[in-house]
Amino acid sequence: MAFIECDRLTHVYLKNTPMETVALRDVTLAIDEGEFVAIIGPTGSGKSTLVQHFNALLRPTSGSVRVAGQDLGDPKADLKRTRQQVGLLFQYPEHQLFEESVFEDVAFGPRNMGLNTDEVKTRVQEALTAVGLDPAAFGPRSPFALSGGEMRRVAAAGVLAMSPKVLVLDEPAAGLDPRGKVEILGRFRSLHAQRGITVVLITHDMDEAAALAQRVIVLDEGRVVMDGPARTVFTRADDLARLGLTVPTVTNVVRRLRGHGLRIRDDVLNADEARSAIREALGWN
Amino acid sequence: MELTRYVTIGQYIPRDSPVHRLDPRTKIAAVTLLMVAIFVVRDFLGYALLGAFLLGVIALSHIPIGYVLRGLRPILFLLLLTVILNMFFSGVQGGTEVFRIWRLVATREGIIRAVFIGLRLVGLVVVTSLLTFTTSPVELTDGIERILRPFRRIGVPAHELAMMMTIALRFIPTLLEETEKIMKAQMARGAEFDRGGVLRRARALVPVLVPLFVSAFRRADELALAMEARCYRGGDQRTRMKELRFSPRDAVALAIAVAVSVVFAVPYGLWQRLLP
Amino acid sequence: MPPLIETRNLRHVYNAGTTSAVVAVDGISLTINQGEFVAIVGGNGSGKSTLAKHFNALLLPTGGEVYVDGRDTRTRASVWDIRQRVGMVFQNPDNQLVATVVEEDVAFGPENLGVPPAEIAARVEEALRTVNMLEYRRHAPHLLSGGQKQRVAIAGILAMRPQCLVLDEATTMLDPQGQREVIETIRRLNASGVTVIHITHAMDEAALAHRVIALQDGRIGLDGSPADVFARAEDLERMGLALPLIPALARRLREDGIPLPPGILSVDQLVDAVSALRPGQTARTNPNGVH
Repeated sequence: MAFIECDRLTHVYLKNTPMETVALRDVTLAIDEGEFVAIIGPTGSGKSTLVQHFNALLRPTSGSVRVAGQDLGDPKADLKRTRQQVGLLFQYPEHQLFEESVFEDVAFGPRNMGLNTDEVKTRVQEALTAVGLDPAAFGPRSPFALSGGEMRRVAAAGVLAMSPKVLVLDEPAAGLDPRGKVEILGRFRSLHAQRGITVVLITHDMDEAAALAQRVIVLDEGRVVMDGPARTVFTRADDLARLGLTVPTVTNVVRRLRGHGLRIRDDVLNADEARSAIREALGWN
Repeated sequence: MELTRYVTIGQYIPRDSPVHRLDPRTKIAAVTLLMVAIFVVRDFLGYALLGAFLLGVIALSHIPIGYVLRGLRPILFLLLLTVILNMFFSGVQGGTEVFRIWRLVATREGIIRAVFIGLRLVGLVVVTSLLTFTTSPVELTDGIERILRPFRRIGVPAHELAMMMTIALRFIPTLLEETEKIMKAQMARGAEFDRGGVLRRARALVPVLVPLFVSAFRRADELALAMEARCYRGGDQRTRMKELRFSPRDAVALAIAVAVSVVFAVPYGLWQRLLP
Repeated sequence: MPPLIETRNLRHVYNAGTTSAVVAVDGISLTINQGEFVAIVGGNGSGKSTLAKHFNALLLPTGGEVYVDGRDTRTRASVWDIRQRVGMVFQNPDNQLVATVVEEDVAFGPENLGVPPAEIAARVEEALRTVNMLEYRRHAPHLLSGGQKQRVAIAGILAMRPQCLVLDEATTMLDPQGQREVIETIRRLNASGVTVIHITHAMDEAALAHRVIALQDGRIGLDGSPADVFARAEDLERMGLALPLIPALARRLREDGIPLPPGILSVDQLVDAVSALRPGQTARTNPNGVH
């Protein structure tokens, strides 16, 4: 059984008012443990609305969501457990920091879970280490005195400290400089690879999606319009273009080369693959 | 998005009506006059006539009556509390007892007084929401600035007040949206806002209020810089794209407002004595 | 004619004289001429935003001088002239719109300059048309998309009739659609003669400029055409700046011995260069032939 299952999930904002908007329509999908899934789609396609159903921050207008076998629509459902299992990192999460020290801020989640002081301490140290911040050096500092990239990583640690099985990331690299971007995305990649954490990544950056995710779900106007391996989805450049989406830069390069009559594979996702594909196509080995 | 649904007070509803087209200064003056009238009226006939007049203005402004009434919803509790308190504790000694609950005595005079006060509150809300429904925030602040301008000499910061109002109105939706986002983010970390007693609930708001204030200050900083970059240097030598114009229509409206408030300000009994 | 912007050995120290003093700009001398399209790149803390805020006297030098159109920015009397000439768009689209209606916001600048009402109205209309936002003139800013808000902010600057537009990370918080809208707008403005200074850490956007200045630790590391600057991959990496994907891919292909010409910045250039080398193509472009 999949870890997260949405069945005909529909969400309507401000129902029965003049401002009623349908954000999700009949979304059916399943996410297994250990996957790395990217959710892409134009702004307003329902990406953020969808993931807020994964930890019951939003309730379906109709349809159902099950997490770890638990139906979140059940009045007796243990939502506290769900919010611990599915960690959600919002856009610009550094704007939600509030404590006087990095340690206290990261400890907020574990404390809400009712863990004792020792457990909280262990969790905070593990989480800070996982995002590449030395607990001894950063723990006592004020989160507001850190650089943008560091604040972002503290916020991520705040979610990781709940030991979630699934990490949902809403544009985790948005607004960071190139170094900060590489740093934080690298952390999430190794959390997935080494600890087997399931990652759901919302992104506008196709290069990022292609570099990280094995599976890509495409949303448009609240519907799932594509769902498959990254390699397959990103070869459908024309369909994506119709939705106002692009393909990864290197995928675009090989596609254009094929248009020029070069015989080259079209399913490349990163610079390394593009490099060897071009070499091969030019007979340069 | 969800929060804004509940607040209709202070919202502008664009329509093409004679009331919308009035100069904001006219509307502010008229509303002030009507508020005085609402406070001075001392009998039911007066309230009935005033109510009829307000209904007429609402019809003229093409604002659905439901919208006006929805504006009362947030003050419903206050309204009820005021009415009940006045009914039992209005200090009317030796009035005619109508009913009593335990040791609380409701007198006829007390009930009448309570109803009057309730009607006044409703009247005030209806009149002010009529102003905001039919006047865009820009016009409203322009109007206030122009009305206050003569008082600058005695130190009233007319332009600064208007600017503050504009910025507040501009940022209310942004901050509401932000509040909701922060609450959700903390809920995702296990925060609960609907559990426990008053103290616990108040404490649960700290993780929301701190980031909200931090962000509000950051926004204020950035906005100040952006305003400076756009050559803002206070109200002196500033011009306006749209200048307010006082038209004959405004004169008529103002005359009506004056007439109505004078008529209602005089108690019904006095009219009976004055008129043969 | 003096250059539009000139800095001479500009230094800026925050909290100077205290224990928390930070040298943000450390001796920058540069000249920007009318009509240029300059990208200023650099990682966090490289001093690029501090530098930019000197271009319109939002910050004053703690050392050295800045001249805008020949005027020293430290002269109190020139401040408003300078800010009218050099307009600035900031990072967060929400925090720079003042009014509750789009056209009122665009009017804010000219109103501050004391422009007569009829002319303000004309300028507002023209500015909104230039950024393709005229149909939204009566909308509330908070209901617009990020790209639309930034275009309104640009219109608000244009209505002051500036000679130069400085974008201080104005695309950083936008989605790709919004970024395209803003980039397309500033390219159009530059083509019509407005000087554009685009501060960014998106290296692919910098590749669209005519000149790239890379900052590191408050100093100029590299300054030249995009082709020149992106040919210095090691220097950029040392500065914490990655090459854009396409120049990076071209560089690795060259390392493999594939004879691509220098200066490849865009997908188009790479595709053309690679197709010119494909098997069966004349050996003229590939003197070594197939190995």
